[in-house]
Amino acid sequence: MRLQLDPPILNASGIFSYIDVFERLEKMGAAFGGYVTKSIGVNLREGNKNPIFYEDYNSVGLSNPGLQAWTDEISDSRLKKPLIASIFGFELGEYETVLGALESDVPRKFAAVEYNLSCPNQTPGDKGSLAARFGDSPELVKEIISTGRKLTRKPIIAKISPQCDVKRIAEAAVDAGADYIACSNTWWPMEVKDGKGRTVLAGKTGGRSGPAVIAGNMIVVGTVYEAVGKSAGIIAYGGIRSAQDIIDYFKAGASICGIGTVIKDMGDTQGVVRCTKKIWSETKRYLNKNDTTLEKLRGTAHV
Amino acid sequence: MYEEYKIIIARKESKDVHTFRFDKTIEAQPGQFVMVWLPGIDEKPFSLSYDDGFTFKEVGSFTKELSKLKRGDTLNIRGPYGRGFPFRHKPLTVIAGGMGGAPLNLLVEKALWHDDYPFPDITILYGGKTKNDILFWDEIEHAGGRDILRIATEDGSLGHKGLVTDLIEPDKNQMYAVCGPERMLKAVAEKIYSKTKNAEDIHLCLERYMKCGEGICGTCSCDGYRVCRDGPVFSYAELLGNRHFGVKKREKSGRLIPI
Repeated sequence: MRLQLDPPILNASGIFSYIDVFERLEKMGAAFGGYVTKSIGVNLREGNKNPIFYEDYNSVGLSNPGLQAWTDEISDSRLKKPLIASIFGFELGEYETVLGALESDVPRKFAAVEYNLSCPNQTPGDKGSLAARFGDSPELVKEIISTGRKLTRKPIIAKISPQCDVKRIAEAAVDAGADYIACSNTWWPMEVKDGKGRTVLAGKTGGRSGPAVIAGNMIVVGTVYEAVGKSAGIIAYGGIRSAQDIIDYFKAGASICGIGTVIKDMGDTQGVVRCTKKIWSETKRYLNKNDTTLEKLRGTAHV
Repeated sequence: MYEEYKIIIARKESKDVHTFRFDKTIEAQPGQFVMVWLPGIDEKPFSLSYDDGFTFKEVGSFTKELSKLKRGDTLNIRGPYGRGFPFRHKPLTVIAGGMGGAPLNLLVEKALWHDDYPFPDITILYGGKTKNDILFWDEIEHAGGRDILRIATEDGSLGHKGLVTDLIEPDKNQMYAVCGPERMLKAVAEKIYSKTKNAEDIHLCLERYMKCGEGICGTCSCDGYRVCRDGPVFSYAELLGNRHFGVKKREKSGRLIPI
C-alpha cells in the first residue's frame, strides 16, 4: 500500500508533535501533504530534562503522554490530510500494544504507521536506546514489522538509524512487509559541550539533525534505494531546507520528503506556512521548467 | 547560543519571590521570555520583568536552586523568544494577577520611561489573594499627576476587597495588557469584550510548559498555537473559539491536563 500525499512532504516525527498543531498548520495552508505524530508509546514518560535541544543536537528522550491520552487526542482529530502514527516500544510487545490500540480505537483516524526503530536517545531507567536495541538487528526488525503486518493493512513505514547496516535492515523490514523505509533518525549521538566545556543536553548525548546531516543522509537514501527501491517507497528525513534538497533526495531515491529541525528558522506558524509553501512552489517550478515529475525524477541519480 | 549574565541585584520581593538584575540589558519586547539554564539541573522559561532582569517565584526544585544564587553569580541565558505585547497609540490599561505582574512590569517601565513607547497614559489594575501577592509598582503610585495604580485583594488586606475584575471599567478605546492565572485572563477578557466587542485590543500573556523554546517540539501548544513562537502574548481575537485557552494545557509528558 502506498500513501497518497499532496504535496509529498511530511513533518518529521517530534516536530510540532501534536494534532492541534497539525490542524492549525493545515487550516493556514502549510505545504504538508500529511502529518506524523510524535512517537506514541504505552506508558506516560516525561522524557529528559531541559535542555533537550542544542545546536541541532537533540535528546528529547521519547516523552509521551501515554497511549490512552494519544487515542483520545487522535479520536478528536479534525485533520483532513493523512495522519501517520509514529510508534515506539522498548519491548516487541509494546509496538504490538500501541498499534493494536490504534486499530481498535481510532482505525479511521490514521492513514499509516511509522515504526520508530531507531531513536538514539534514552532517559535514566531505559533499557538502552531503541537504536541500540533494535536498530542493528535484522532479526528483531523483521519480527517487529511482521507482527505489525498482521495487525494492519495500512502502509507500514520503518524508520531506521543511519548508524546501522542500512541495506540489511531495510531488506529485513521490507521482507517483513514494510511499505516504506524512512531514512533516517538522528545521526551519531554525541555529547555536546559549550564553550566552557560543560555538557549541555540533559540527556548527555543527542542525535544530530539539520543541514549538517544532508550529505550523509543522501548516501543512506541512495543505498536503501539500491537495496529495496523497486519494492518499497523511501521517506527522506534530514536537513531539508529548499526545493533543491527535495529534488536531490528524489533523485537519490526518495518518494516522500520530511521537514524537521529546519522549522526552527521559520518563526511563527505563519512563517512555517510561508516557508513550506515557498519550498513546494519552487519544487513545482523546477519540475515544470524541466518538464518532469517527482515520480520520473526518483532514483535518476543512479546510473 | 547561551550568553552569560552576571547578577548585579538579587532582591527578595517577598518570602518566595526574587528578582535578579544583570550587568547588561536584553533587547526584548515586554512579554518575551528567556530560557535560563542551570547546568546539570534543568532549563526553564522566564518572562523578563526588566530589560535587564526577571522575577520568579519558588515553585519547584528548579526555582529553589535559582533562589540560592547571589549577587556576583552568573546565569546562562538564551533568548529572548516569542512575541510580546504590541504598541498602540492608545491609553493603556495593565491588568495583572500576582506573578502576572512580572512581564507587565517591563511594559509599564517602557511605557513610563521610554520615549519610543507611544502610550499616552496608563492605568494599572493589580490583584492578588493577599497583600503579599502585590509585588510590583509600589514606587509608582503617582505618575503624570494622578493615581495610576489600583489594587484588589481577595482578603481585603490591601486595596479593594474582591477580584481585580471588579476594578475594570471596559472602554473600547483602551488597549488592555493582561497577565496572570489563565482563568483570570479568561474572566478579564470576557468582561471587557462583552462591553466593548473589541477583541483586537485585549492582549493576554499565556504560560505553558516549554521545552525547546524554538517552536520545534510542540509541548507548549495551545489548540494549535505554539505558545513559544506564536505567543506568549495573544490578542483575545486570536483566542476566541480556542479549545484550550482557559481549559487545558500540556504537562511535561505532553499530556493534556485541565487548567
